[in-house]
Amino acid sequence: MFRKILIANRGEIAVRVIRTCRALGIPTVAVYSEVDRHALHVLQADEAICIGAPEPNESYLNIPRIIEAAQQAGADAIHPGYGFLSENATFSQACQDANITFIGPPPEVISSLGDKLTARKLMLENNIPVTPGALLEGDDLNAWKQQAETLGYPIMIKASAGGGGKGMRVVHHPDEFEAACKNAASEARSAFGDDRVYMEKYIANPRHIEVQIFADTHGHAIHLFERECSIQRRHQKIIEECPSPVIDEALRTKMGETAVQAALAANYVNAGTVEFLFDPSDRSFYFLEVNTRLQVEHPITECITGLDLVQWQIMIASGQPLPLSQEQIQRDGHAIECRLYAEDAERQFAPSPGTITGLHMPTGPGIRVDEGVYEGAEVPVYYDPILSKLVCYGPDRETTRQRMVDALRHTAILGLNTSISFLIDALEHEAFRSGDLSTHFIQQHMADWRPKRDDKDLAAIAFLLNEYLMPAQKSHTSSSGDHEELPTPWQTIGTWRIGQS
Amino acid sequence: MPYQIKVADTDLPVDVERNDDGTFTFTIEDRTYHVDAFRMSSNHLTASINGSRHHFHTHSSAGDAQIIHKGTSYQAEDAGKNKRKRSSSGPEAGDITPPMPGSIIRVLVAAGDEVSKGQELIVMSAMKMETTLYAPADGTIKAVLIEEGEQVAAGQQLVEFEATPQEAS
Repeated sequence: MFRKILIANRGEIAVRVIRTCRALGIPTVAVYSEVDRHALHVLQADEAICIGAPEPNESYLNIPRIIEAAQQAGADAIHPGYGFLSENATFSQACQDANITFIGPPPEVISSLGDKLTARKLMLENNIPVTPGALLEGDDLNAWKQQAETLGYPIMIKASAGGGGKGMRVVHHPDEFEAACKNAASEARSAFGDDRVYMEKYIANPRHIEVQIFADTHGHAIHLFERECSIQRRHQKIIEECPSPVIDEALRTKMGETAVQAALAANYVNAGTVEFLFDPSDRSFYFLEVNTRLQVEHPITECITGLDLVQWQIMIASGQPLPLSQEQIQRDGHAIECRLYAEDAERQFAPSPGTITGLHMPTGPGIRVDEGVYEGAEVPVYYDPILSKLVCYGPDRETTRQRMVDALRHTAILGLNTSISFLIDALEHEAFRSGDLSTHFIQQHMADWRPKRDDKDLAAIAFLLNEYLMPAQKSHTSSSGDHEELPTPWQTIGTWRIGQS
Repeated sequence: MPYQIKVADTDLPVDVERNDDGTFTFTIEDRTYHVDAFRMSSNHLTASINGSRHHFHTHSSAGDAQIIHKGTSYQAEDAGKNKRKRSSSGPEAGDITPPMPGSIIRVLVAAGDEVSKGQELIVMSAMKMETTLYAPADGTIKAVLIEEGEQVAAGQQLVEFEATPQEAS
């Protein structure tokens, strides 16, 4: 087992990885940018090393600096989390070259699968169904346009190195084609340092269903069932669940086996996710891509299988065989995850950075919180605005759904905008209740969403209670200058005393 | 004690009476609420309101407050109190300003350009997402105040824009 693990990430996933390391008795090293000095992952790790300026290229994407930090701390393994360098073959290679174990697939697997085009070719060779598509090579825009015409609009432009919706554009009309390609390429360049894009036939009303896979260095591969991640905004998942309400046992087995086949074809090692597009019109499914990392939504798989996926990653990285065979993997119940982002659901989910001035997370049976922030924490503008993840599980889908709605109603994140009331309304929507999902769910059902805000009287009462029941530590003299011409109830109410009878 | 409380853009006349037993009676228009409240922490209040239990998470700054109740966030202020101090120098409708801090990726217009409503003006990047700023109306770009690659703050004016006066129809 490893002496010490460096976590080359930040936020909730770094905190999540630290938790398992702690359970395994392995000391941890956090890395952080200058703006993250007091971020939760820094405060949770045994050691922390500053790796540079806030811009991701200067810090969390700075391979030499991270390797140097690992050597400085004496870490013999690096967990990359998700995002940042997690699917970067150069980083996996740099770890290998420095004699540090990369907790993830070897570089050649990442490059063949992480490059979506190579992955598509590999899957085609192995008789795994893929969506019709074409590569955009060179600068010949007219040739690209012709290919788009051949495929037929609408088409999807995707970054070859992409993920998480970055560098992705849907094109409905030839007039939008050029701008979409340029924007996708430019976004891909800034997110991944690689501006190659490709196009795919766009499937109407697809469902996003993915299979968790694991493979060891001894040639074994298994799957841990599927997750449905159809509820997305800006091509980024916000609600995930497992099992999928649309998959029956026969299809589950077929998708699982296909995913394992994909893993074996790619000589896969460690945790991965095979993403499929599911076309409900004929119940066919198409290979989309393999995410060669731990997924954001891995906790729902942990909930229904009772396994610790980060622990498995570490064991496999240290050369141990898969701890269970396919037949030994059991699932029980239903789990749902909601991603809590600092974003404004009323303004096209625009990021909403700021300071968390208050934080209250729910607790209780069947509730798991993967937290990345704390009360007082700063949410910087430089990174993905995910704050925390709320995961609920229960014996069946409806129990779990109700548990999640109640948990969200008992969640309060003050100081910035979050999508919490949006998530509640999505979970309460008839289409969600009945399991009628698609990746267009938000456009179809919630495009003009505004919070109901039908408890305005209660909010007005709370506003005044907040002034009448001043916190004990807050005194007149501490109020700032802009209050001076605003008499507070303390000044206007006259003499009274709490508990006076 | 009468107040004018603005909640999520609605003005509510609220009368507050403090009772001898420490409870409150709130009257909002023709609705009466009997309130027994307790502060659990600096940002957490609970109250029994007409016999139902409620929890509120609050944060106030400069006279405004954010209140979260059952997962929904409300902005509230004492409208009577804040009226005097409201500044008139905020961004005007039609200004081209970024909704969040970030960096400018591409400037698609130059001073003197005539633009039409909805035309792409500037592409910026914030939190790894690209955002496009569009012309709010038909008009003319009087000046471009930023350069590609520049870091900008939320609300910063990026271009001087003059809308074409609407002809009466």
